[in-house]
Amino acid sequence: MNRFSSKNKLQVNVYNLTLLVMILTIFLLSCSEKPMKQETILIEDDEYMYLAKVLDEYSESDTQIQVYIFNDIIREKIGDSIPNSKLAAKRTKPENGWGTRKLALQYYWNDEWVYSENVVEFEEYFLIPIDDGNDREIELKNIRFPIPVQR
Amino acid sequence: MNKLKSVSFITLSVILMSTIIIAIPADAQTVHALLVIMDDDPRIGTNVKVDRKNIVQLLGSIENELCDVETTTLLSSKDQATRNGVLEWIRNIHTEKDDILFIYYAGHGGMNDKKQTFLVTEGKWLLRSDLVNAIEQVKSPRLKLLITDCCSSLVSQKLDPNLQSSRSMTRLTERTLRNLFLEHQGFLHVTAATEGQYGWSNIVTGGWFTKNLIESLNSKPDENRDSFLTWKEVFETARQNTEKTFSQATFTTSQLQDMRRKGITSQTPKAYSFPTPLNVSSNDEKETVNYIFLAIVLFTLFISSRISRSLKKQHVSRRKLSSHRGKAWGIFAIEVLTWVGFNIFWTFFSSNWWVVIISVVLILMILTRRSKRYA
Repeated sequence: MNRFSSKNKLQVNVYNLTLLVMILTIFLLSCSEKPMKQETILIEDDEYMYLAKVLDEYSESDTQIQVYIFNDIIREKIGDSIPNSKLAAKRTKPENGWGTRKLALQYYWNDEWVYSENVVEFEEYFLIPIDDGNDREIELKNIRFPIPVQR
Repeated sequence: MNKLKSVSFITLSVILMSTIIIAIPADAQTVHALLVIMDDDPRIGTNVKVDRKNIVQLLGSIENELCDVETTTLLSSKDQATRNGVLEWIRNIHTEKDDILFIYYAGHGGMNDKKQTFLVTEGKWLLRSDLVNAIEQVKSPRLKLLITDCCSSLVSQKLDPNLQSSRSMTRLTERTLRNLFLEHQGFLHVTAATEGQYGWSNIVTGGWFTKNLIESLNSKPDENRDSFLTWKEVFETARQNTEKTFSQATFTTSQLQDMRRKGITSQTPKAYSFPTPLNVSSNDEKETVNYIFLAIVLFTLFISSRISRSLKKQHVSRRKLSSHRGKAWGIFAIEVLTWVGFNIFWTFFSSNWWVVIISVVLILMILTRRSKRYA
């Protein structure tokens, strides 16, 4: 004996189909929503540039940019909002991917800033070549770039 | 046979002794140094102070290792770094025959519409050609050095008002300094950038060209491994490293846009002239000595074959003939060994004349022993 009549069956199917469509719509919407791009920039302070992460989207016309400065001392000094004029450059991924670009920079080690060339750049850290042949891994917060000055 | 040995020995000795004479460098002299430092420039003032420190250390090494150094520093912060100040110093300098003139400039520079490069000295700018003419008027010094760490980029006549307003090294070895300062003659004229390019600096390293030039002195870039360091080799290493420093530098967005607009893709230091090495180790001289060695060996073979032929004509015994051949091969072997030894010594110890003396003594001992045995 059938518990449901054919009319009831149709109602159940329509209900299930509607539910399925709703789930698919929610799923597609969640997929199509773009996450905020994690942009890393270089901010200028005196003669150096420090790495910072942009927290909120900004445009050219914005006077202030919300950032998280990786270096503790500079973050304490400047805070989480910088004037647009302090944005010196945007950090870009090397053409051939992370780990392929060599840079000249300063890193903080044993309470002093040390200048080094041939430093390999990765997204989350930098590899400093050491004389003994090994590399020293340095976090983004302990890196700064001397600003080039033309003569 | 004795004649043959004597000829070979005397010729070899003459060659080796002549290398001693060539290898003796010039006597110690005085370095007359002029440093023109634009240290009050708001943009590069701190950077050029690093350059000044580096150059003073270099001069200190020369004073410790080689000879007297008399340094005059013209600072823009004291209103001394003027065009007239520089030219007057060059005009009034009194130098002796073997002295060295060393002029270093750290500051702004550029190139005008007529493609003339200039140094941004206080007040009126100093054209590079005027500076070179003034230096060429100083006749007596054996070696003249003009090193400028500045831009050579095209600048409009209305220059940036900031520009118009004026604007760790290890101890060098005695041998490096001797090669470069005592064993060269002529005019070294180098600058940080080729026409149309910027000369760059930063607060840590100072001028990239000055930094790499001094580091090149420390690294001893003896490219041809002849144990003699030339200014050309030093400059070539400095040039490559300056280009590398440029490629590894992190520029601001506005700097990158400016360079892209002007088509600047690097910083390539330029050499206008190099001094000539005085040392025995120059390749040309080495080649000449090698040709002489070759001639001696061929001459020995020729004489030996002539003697063999004449012995054959005289119908001497086979034993005497083979004895002659043995002696000839012995002399030939000594000559070839000396030749090879000479090249090895030249490569590793060319500036040490005592090695040459030891070689002569060894040859003498070997030949004496052989002649005793034959007797």
